[in-house]
Amino acid sequence: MKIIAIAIKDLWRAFRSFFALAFMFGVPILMTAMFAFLFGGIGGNEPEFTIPRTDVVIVNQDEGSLLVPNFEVEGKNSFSTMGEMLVDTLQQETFEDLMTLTTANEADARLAVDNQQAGMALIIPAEFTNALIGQSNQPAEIEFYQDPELSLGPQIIQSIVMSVVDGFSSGILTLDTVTTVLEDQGVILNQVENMTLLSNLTAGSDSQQDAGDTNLNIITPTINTAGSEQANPLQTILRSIMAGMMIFYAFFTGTSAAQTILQEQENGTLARLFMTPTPTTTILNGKFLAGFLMIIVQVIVLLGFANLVFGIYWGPLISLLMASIGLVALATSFGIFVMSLVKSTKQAGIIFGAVLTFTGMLGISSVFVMGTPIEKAFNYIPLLVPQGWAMNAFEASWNDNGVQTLLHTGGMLVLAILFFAIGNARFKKRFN
Amino acid sequence: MKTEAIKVQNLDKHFDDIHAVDDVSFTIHTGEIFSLLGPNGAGKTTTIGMISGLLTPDAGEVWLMGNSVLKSPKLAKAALGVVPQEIALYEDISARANLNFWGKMYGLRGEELITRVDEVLALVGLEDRANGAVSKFSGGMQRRLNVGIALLHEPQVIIMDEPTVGIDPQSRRKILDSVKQLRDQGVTILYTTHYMEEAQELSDRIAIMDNGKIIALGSHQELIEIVGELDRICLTINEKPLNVIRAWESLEGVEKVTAEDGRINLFVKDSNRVLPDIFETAAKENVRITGVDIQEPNLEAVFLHLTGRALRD
Repeated sequence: MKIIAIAIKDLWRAFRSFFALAFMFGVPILMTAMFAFLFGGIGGNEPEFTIPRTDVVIVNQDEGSLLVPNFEVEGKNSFSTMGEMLVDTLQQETFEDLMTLTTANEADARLAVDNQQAGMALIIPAEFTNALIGQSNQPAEIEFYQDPELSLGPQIIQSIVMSVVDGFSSGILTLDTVTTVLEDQGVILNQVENMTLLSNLTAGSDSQQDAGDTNLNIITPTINTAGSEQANPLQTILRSIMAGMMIFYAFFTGTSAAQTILQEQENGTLARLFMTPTPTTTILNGKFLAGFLMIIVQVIVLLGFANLVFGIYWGPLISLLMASIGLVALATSFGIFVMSLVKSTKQAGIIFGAVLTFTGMLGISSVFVMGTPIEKAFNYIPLLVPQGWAMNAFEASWNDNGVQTLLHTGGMLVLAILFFAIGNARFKKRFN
Repeated sequence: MKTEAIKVQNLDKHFDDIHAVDDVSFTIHTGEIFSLLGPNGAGKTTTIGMISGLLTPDAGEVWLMGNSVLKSPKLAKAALGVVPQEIALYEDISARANLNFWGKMYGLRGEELITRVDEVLALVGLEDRANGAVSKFSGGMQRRLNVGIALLHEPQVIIMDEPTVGIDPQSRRKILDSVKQLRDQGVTILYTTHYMEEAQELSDRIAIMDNGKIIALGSHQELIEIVGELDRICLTINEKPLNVIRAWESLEGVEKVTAEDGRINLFVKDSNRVLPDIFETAAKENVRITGVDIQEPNLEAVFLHLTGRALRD
């Protein structure tokens, strides 16, 4: 069949091009691998990686006072403030592999982060204890001043600190409840007894950790990724990056494949094709098919590579299949659509430079805002561009949300039909 | 009995305000080499575009081997091989891969395709470079491959649109010889060129095109007769020619005088006899002749006679 011959010829030419291969496979794999090497030890023989240790500068300005100054619990250090208790907790052996702690004043701590000598400054304000025990109208606050170039390490530290502080808060609440009940029964605790009870309550989380049932949600420093379907922070990041890169460059492939129509027009081979006993429809469809097949190969290779090398779980096969088909159809048709709007490869260069980069970055923006306060807003903004629909479909797939995957795939297919109909009609009008 | 291989009837084509082809009609018989001769922009390539089905005419009709290009394009195009003016090849793949692909586009398959690819490679002298990337070929080799593609499916009609532009004399000779060879095999060839020597050497009949119209059509001899077999004396002079032209026009044996870009063309019956009178008249009018070129009747002269312009302008 002539349509197959045209598609195979285009595939053959594309796969002989260094630039095409670099954009189709090289860049997405390289980007993901860079993150993997940055945060893990997958360069070694072991299929394991270690979360990097974060340098944390603690600024403890807590001036509040516990009921009993320098209260000492048996076998523990003495504390005058909750800030001291927090610092003591973070200094436990359990966290040694996650962070290196130093102390400094606020200005020096911020300077250390600005100069990238520390990954994060943990600033405990003066009113911290008072706010926690209800002696102040201010809410309890801790400032995390961090290097914006780091995300994983500081995010883990933040999560640990929040868990410890949650433990303090719940201990104080429990103490209130216990003392009220005891008072109702005529038992009045003195300050030392109160503090002992509070200490035991807040330390409860430590003992639970030791028992292996943690409330602090401490992330185990060494994680085995091979064959695991459990999401962990690094794997989540790698998966999002790989999906984002795959989608971003799949659209480049689709547009690049459709651009060969313009290239052949300028090289004279398209006119020569039209002079053969081959209908215009067959010629155009052969070229569209080439783009479709190219993206199929690209998606299969990238998904497979990510699974085998990074142990990335993409979701149930049926969901993954739906998202992938949607991506292939949408990226192909979007390429046909945008190329039908331009007349020359010179104009097409602008499309590559501006339109695809803008829509691509917007579409996969959820990758860049992951873990930030604006993350939720980016559930919807990317849907303004086709790449966003693809990203959401893959996210739904790996979150095992079949319904969402189906909905987003349906959306992608509708868009694909629309783009194809417009692009195909414009090309046929141009060449008939 | 000769049949009509190509029949063109009242073809007309506009591009915006430009009337590219203006009511063109001609018929080419089987086994004939028919040349379309004309300067750049005359409408030759547009005419060929409509004959090959690449362009849709605004009016008129074309038949290839009896099949209408507009109504039965597949049948018509199956009988046709086209050598485009620009080299139209996939430069990043080999000569063999190019031929394989184009063969498939002409409906060749399997053993037939393999055999024809080898035959064409031999025909255009590229057997040794069959597996080399076309981008590494010289211009002449690319031209030969460009011609070879049009021959793959052994078409009954071949259109060659200026196939010898910008190539070395050796490759040019090879292409011209292959055209004659094809004619000997009974193939009908429509050949466009702005090289009158090529048209003169190859053609059974020649149509001269200018400004989208056919201004003369016939065999080489028939076209020469249009200018009455006059010699052309082309003079370069140092003065404005007004007075001397009138004097030359009155000389016995001078049929016609035209002036163009500082050069004067005198069409004369016998250049040897009239040349002394021409110099004498110039001297009387104080005009100094700085250059003389004498040409026997040819297609250039025909074109000049018909349009008042040189063919290569």
